[in-house]
Amino acid sequence: MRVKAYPDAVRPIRLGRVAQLGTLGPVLLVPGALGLWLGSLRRVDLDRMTDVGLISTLPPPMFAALIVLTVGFVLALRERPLRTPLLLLYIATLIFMLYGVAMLVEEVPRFQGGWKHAGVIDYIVRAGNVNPQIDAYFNWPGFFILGALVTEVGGLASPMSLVGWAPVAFNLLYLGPLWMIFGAVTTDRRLIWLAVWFFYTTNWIGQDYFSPQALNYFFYLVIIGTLLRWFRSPKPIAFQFFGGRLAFPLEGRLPTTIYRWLAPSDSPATPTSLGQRVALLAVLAAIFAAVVSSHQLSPFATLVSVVALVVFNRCSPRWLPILMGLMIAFWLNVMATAYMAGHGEAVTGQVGNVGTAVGANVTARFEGSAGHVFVVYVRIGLTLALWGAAVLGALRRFWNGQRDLTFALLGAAPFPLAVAQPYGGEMLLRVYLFSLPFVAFFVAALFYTVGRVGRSRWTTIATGVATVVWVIGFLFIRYGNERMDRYTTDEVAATRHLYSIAEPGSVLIAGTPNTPWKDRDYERYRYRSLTNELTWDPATVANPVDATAAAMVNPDYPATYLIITESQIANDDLFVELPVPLRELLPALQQSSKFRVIYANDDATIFVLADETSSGGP
Amino acid sequence: MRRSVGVWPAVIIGSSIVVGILTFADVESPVRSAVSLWFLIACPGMAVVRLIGVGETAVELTLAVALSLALDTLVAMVMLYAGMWSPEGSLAVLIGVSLVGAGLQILRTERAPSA
Repeated sequence: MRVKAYPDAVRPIRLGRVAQLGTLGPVLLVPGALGLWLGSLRRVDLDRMTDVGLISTLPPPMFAALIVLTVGFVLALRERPLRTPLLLLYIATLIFMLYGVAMLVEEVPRFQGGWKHAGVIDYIVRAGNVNPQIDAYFNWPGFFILGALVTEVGGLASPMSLVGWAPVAFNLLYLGPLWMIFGAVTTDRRLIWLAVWFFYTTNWIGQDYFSPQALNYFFYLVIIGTLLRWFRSPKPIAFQFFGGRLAFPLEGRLPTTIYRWLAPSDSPATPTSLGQRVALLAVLAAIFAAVVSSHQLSPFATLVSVVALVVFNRCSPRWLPILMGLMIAFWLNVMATAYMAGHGEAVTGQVGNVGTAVGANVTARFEGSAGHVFVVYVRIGLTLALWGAAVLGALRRFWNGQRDLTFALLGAAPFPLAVAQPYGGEMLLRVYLFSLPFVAFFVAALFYTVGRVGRSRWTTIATGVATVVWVIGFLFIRYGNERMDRYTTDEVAATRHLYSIAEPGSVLIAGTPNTPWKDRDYERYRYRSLTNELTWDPATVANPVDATAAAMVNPDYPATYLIITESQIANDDLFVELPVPLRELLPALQQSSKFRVIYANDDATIFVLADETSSGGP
Repeated sequence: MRRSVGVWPAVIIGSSIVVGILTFADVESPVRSAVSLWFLIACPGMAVVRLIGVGETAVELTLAVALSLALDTLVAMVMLYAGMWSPEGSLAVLIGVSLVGAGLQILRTERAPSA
């Protein structure tokens, strides 16, 4: 095995006064950074937000706080021995700052998905059942049933109590399994901590909001962590069976030689008894049962990773993918039949349609306002930079004798999903997420290749600079759509008013679906949006008021209401959702004799047709 | 010398009793929310995982949280699909799992050979 000499590892460290602060410095920098951060929050002016999102409103001291935190962390990482409580404090502070900032500066919980998920839970609390005819959520209701249980047992006034801080809570949850996963392949604790740090500075795709996928990602990490820790495969692949009496036909030929090289035996797993292994597998089965019942995509993402581990001899229970496949098949064919009967073609018909998948996942994202497109470029650029850094890190490890086949497989395993199914244009996000722990590890390995290196001043500076780049990127990417993801109390007041006046069964039309509603009365109304109601034909563009009025004619329902809010307008500004700008349609509707405003505040307006009999009429 | 039973059985039993009282008495208090969340996130899983004996506390806690959330989901889901949706009933089952697990932990320690 080749091992390079690194003179920096034994060279006395000189970082001037900062280093002379000794052990106290990194400790003091945490409250320093946190104080600076919290003290700057009141200077955040959300009304100044541009199309690049929340970052346009953050005052300079908030960036300074993140730099101070980074400096403290990289200094703490130089200490020998490492202080685990201190590093934990840094990670927790980073999570609080990056993932809690929106909750601290905004009036109400952000992002429509969380509101909608609270509404599904509200239905279960009220009805005590799931109606699979309503939509897909009710065919994979595990997460929502759990939410209903927590709401009821905890005596919460509403499931919305769980929504706001969910990203912070989920990211704190991820810490444990990340530690398990990284600890399974290296004993270098500095490398582990840096990989964890990079994970949190680059988990920018925002799939940790109050959602089934956020919980299932935790389950995924735990399943992978458990397999890597206790179920590694220390035996070489066998091509002879029944005591050597039956040999694989290609035994001794080139394909099996290549396969043997690709699938070598692993280092021994943590020792366990047969009873412990059976119990751990039972725990995994219970966890995967929760995954299967909670989300359409997560079971498949978990399955492909486990299949990769088994095929390349990284995991000893070879039958595990079969069990997992049977569990998925049971759910699809028995429990989710209502959804599959109506959407089977949509689910399976696009499998392998690479053009559609690429179009939905990449091309469509480059549409919208200039600010939004800029954020998309930052997102793509930094993602490619991160993946490139990971490849270099993996090569550097390989050059130094570390053959991280397991992590390379797990990092690559989710990618086939991206071309298999577009998943509403979100599959690439999920691919990024499921490969992120392993990508973060290899990026960290670019700096800390083997246990004896990484304490030079240049490595410390490079680690800090890389962190600052990721953090700035994080603020651009994660909160790049914040103009639309942020809701105001006025918008919520408008939707509450709408619920108070609209008779159940009424049609509620929004400018775009991006509205703080559906957190209650999920099944009692017909929710629609102008993005579906208005077609992109010349007649609509020429006379959008008439087209909107026509969409409001629904005589089969008790009444029809139209609500237009500032976050919907921001949604249309960023993504160009409608054939005519919603910003221009709003005053046109206000001036039209065909519409009557029944409620208005600074951020929201509710309309009915002036001739109420045609809309069903209240 | 007897093997130490550790703090976890006491924590699990104590949490089970408190969450049971607060929920079944329908006490309206933020304390109920906090205790319930703690119980549902940690206790059923920790009652089972400590019986496996995987060692390191951080790893044990990670597995326990995952198993707790999975058990919460599965117990509530089975009751719901069986047409017996009852948050109190689900909680009673989870308290039962926790108490049995904690009891087995104590028993196993009692029966373990002295060091």
